[in-house]
Amino acid sequence: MVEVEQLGQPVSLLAAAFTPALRTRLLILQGTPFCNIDCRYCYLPERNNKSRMSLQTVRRAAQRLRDDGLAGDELTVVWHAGEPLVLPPSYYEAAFGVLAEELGACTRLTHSMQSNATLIDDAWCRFFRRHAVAVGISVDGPAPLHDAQRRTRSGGPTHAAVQRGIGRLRAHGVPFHAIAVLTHDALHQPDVFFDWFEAEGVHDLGCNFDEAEGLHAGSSLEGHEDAHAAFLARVLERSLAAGGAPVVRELAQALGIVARGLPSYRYQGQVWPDNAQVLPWALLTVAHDGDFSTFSPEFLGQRWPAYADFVLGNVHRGGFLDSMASDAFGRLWRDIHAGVQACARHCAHFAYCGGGSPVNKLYERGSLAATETLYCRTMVQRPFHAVLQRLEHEQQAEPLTR
Amino acid sequence: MADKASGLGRVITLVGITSLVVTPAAASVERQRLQLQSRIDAVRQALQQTSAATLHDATLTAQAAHWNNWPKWSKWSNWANQ
Repeated sequence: MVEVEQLGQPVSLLAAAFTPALRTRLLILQGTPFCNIDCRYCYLPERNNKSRMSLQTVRRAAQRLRDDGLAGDELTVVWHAGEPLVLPPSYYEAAFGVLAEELGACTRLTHSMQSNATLIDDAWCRFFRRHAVAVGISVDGPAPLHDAQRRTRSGGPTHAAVQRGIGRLRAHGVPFHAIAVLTHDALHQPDVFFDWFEAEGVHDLGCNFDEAEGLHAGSSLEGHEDAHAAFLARVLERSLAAGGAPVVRELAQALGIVARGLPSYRYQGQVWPDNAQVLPWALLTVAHDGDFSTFSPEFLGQRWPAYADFVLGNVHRGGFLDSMASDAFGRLWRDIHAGVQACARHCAHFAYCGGGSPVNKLYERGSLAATETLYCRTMVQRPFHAVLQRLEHEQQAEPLTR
Repeated sequence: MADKASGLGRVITLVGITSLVVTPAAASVERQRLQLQSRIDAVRQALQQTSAATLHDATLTAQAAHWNNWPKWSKWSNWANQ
């Protein structure tokens, strides 16, 4: 079979086997694993750990990235995998400076922060504006939906604090996008859900769902996939009727795929549809202590002995590309690529996806070499079909080629 | 693997093996794949042959223009590229 191809070769040759050359698109830095709240669906295992990434670690990560040639023309740094705003603006002033020193000459850097918004105040807003930080707010819509999951450490609601944070962003003219985590409760309330984001003036909205991964063992969407399809169709209708806002990320991406397809890459002479979660170093995650990983960012901090807990190295001890010769990387790559090959054989959507999400394969199916997951159906297939059906409906309602 | 030109993985052709068994499951996937590709081709053709002004729903066109700026396919898309 075709999938035997590269597995007998030294993995140290792996980086050279990709065309175009491997580049990091998104550098995820865990300033701290600590989070000031305690969401019920959170998958992160170290939310009580108040460690912070030292500036020396920030510098070393940047140097490794530069020295390995992984920095392309543009690089987005997202501070995530913990609540970034529990560290003060002065920390990020210094960290941004370090990153600019090490990477500013070779790439165009942009910073992004994904926050629960409860700590946003005027000082943060001034910081966001000063550094043109792309701010993402984690909010699940109106209070009943949001507060059912996103709780304080003492079990209290957080929605009011989030609205205060959004109010400060607005007062300072800081643009922001929102990411909601859909649970079963939201599926039957698409209008209530949409109304809230529309009223808040959110222009860009991502709709994740409570994935089964890490500490969160099961998804509330299991067994309710038809309801999710109906939810998406309704949200698409509402978005169109509202003049295109909020723009829903999953539907936006789906239209891009329907209209233009995915870009592709070559790996050892074969062409594959692009999927950042199965390309080494496209998504690069560095933990607060310098441990690093790649592929699915949710691997960070998880325990899985067969894959060395997904830790491929530490920026203080070695580079990213060097780690590709390690057993840990070899095992991970072998199984992830086997999963991509299995998707190519068994999934009709492969051309529009490129091989699914490794972390979801592992936590839902128990194997990186597995194929379809709830994640695939929820984040890829249903948005894709909602948009495709809408476009077909448009053609039937008024032929485009009249 | 064939279909290298398009990169879409539309047809998986096994080469260099002495026997080829096409299972009912594999045939079913291939059928679904071709049906999906046919629908996509039709939509793309229509989108290419029309101007925005002739679309029944101009809002959809406006969204498409905006959505075109979102090139990546995962929840880890780069929102900063807006």
